[in-house]
Amino acid sequence: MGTVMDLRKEGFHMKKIFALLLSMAMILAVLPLTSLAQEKYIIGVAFQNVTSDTEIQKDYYTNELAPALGMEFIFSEAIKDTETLVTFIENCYAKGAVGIINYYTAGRGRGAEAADQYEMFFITQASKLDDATLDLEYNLGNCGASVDGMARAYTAAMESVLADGENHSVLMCTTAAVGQVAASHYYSTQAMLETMQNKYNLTYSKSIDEIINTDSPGEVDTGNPNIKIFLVPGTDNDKTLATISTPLQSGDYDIFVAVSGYANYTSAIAEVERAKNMDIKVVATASIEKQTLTGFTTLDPLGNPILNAVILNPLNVANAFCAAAIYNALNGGAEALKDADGNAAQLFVNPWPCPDAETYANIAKLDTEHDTYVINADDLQRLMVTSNPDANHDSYAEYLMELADIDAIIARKIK
Amino acid sequence: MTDVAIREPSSLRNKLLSVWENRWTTRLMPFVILLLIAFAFSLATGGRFLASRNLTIILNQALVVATVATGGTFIFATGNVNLAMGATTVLCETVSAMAFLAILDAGGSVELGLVVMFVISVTLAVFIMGFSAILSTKLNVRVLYVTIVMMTLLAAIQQALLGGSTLTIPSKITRMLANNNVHYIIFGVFFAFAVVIFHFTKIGRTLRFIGTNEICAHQTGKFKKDYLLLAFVIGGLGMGLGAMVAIIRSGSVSITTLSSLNMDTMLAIVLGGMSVFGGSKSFVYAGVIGAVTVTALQNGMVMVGVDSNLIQGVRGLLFLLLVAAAQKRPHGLPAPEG
Repeated sequence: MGTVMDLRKEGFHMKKIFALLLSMAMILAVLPLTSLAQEKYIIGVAFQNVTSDTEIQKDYYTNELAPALGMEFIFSEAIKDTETLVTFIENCYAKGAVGIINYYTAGRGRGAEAADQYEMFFITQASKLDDATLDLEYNLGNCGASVDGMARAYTAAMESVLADGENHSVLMCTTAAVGQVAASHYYSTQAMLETMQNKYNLTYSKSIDEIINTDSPGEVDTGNPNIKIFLVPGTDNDKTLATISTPLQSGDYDIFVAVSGYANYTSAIAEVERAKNMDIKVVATASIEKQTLTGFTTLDPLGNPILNAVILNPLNVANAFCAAAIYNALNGGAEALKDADGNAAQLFVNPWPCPDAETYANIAKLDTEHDTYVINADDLQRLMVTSNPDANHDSYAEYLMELADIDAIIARKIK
Repeated sequence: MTDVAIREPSSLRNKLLSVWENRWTTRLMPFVILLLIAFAFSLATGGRFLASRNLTIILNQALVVATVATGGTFIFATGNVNLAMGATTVLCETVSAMAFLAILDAGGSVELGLVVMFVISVTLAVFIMGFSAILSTKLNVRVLYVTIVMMTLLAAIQQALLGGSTLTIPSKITRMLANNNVHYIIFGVFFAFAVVIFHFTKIGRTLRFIGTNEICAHQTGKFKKDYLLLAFVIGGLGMGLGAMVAIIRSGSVSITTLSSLNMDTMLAIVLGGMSVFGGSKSFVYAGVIGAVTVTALQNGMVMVGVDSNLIQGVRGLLFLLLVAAAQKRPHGLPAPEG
């Protein structure tokens, strides 16, 4: 018996030593990963979500922007709250980073302060500046979706799905529209509510601003029993999915609109289409990726495309401008990027409306490799103060306006 | 003969085993692991990991989890697992921030707002935890089940209060609090209080006794219901104060704020060297050591350039290995000691 106990203890002892040795081996194993490329600018990229889009963007940062700008990028995990953003900024600082490209719009104010405290240049992909941090020395401002452009695109998309003259009810996922946490979401929702109002002569019981800024999901009083609108705010995709299931399953809503991505909801929508034998049209924001093509070409249970219209977000355009802005700031061009009042700048990227699969097939040829990147290393020279001393806030804004013309881009890039 | 042959070589191992299972070895092991991690990352980063500014960063990052975990050790010591620590902290953060902003909107002073925010946060957390303990003891439902229900309920309340919005405390106020080291003071005072109560009073001894053997404790007049309530109240105090530390650090609250706090806190307590079964080997500093270890790992991995996709995986695997090294698995079915 004693022997058995000895062996058991021995096994127990060995297990602990083995586990400790493995732990240390794992830590030591990551040591060679240390990148001591001190010559490069280290830039942190704080992603709000990590999706298939993110991998496309990481490839662009790593393969196109990094060599062209002499940068090394550190990518975050999905950042869901301000605490995580600040932690990421601090850890980037510890590694020696000199700039942060931030996607977490709700934390842009606190993020700008944290970056400023560590003397790191900071730029956010958002459509509305945080007023409290405009004058921070290291806050370069925003480069985000054009609120007017998004509003126009969503108006056009809604008009196209409402064009059959029938009564339609709409389920809208407004993501970060409340309080204009993401201003583009707010103005997109506003544009759609106005389109519905004009189309069906709706009489909302509250102002559109009040409707959008309601924190909780719920049905909008439209004054017309045949036209229903249900708004679902919130940035948590899983919670949104849980919230939309009840109104979706009622079968009352035949249009689903998301001011951000739609992929999380396709299964829930297909389930209702199958159960209720109805076609639910889908309008959403998307990016150039395989999933968008799949959305246009895959048919739902009734033989209609899953995706009916998208507002394409030119992801890598904003990425190029943000990286170039930090590059310029590091090369003495920080002041040139500020607006006429000397404050952090707001730059707008125009979306590309895409009403059908045919249009998408052309756009999908973009952003796949060096030659087809909307802004490749050669185009980047126009944005860099070292190769173009005139690069400043106005020249950036002008370039962004040029990039609104998707046909011109396709003609230039796709041979 | 065979018996002797087997015993002979194991005598050295037995000596090693007795050193390994010595209470001081158990107590010092989390510190040794932390030092080894610091040493490894320091080597990998050419000493930058141990730079004073980076150590301050790690301390700041660990502070919220450390505060909540310090309170949580009182509950863990009794052999119970509380899954509502994160939800309680975040709800307190939400309600107290709402109260603060309401006072500012109504024209009240910042000082008044801060006092009200502090009082609400601590009172609400203590109330929620006290209520959970009473529910558990009065209805005779296991703590684990009660806290699962509370976690869901509190998250739903927070969702109803916040919806899709984000509350933001003006940065000049959070900066002023941080510049005056209020977050360090909150943590320091609470930690000192916790050390005294846990290690130098009858309350701490009794909580550990209950964790070691609940029946024996009951038979010697240490009634679980009274002490469980006490453990939850002190735990609640940590959560309320943790909410304050979180507000000072990030200054904003949304539905996604501190969503992994509960898991981080539990990991910190376990990594800090406390048994998941509580009992005599419980130490109040376990949460602090664990929180710093977790944070140092994250910080170090970013510094050495581990891919963000790998960080979670490496961290999870390390946790598993370190827990395997630090925890004694019972020879029988999982049960309290004795």
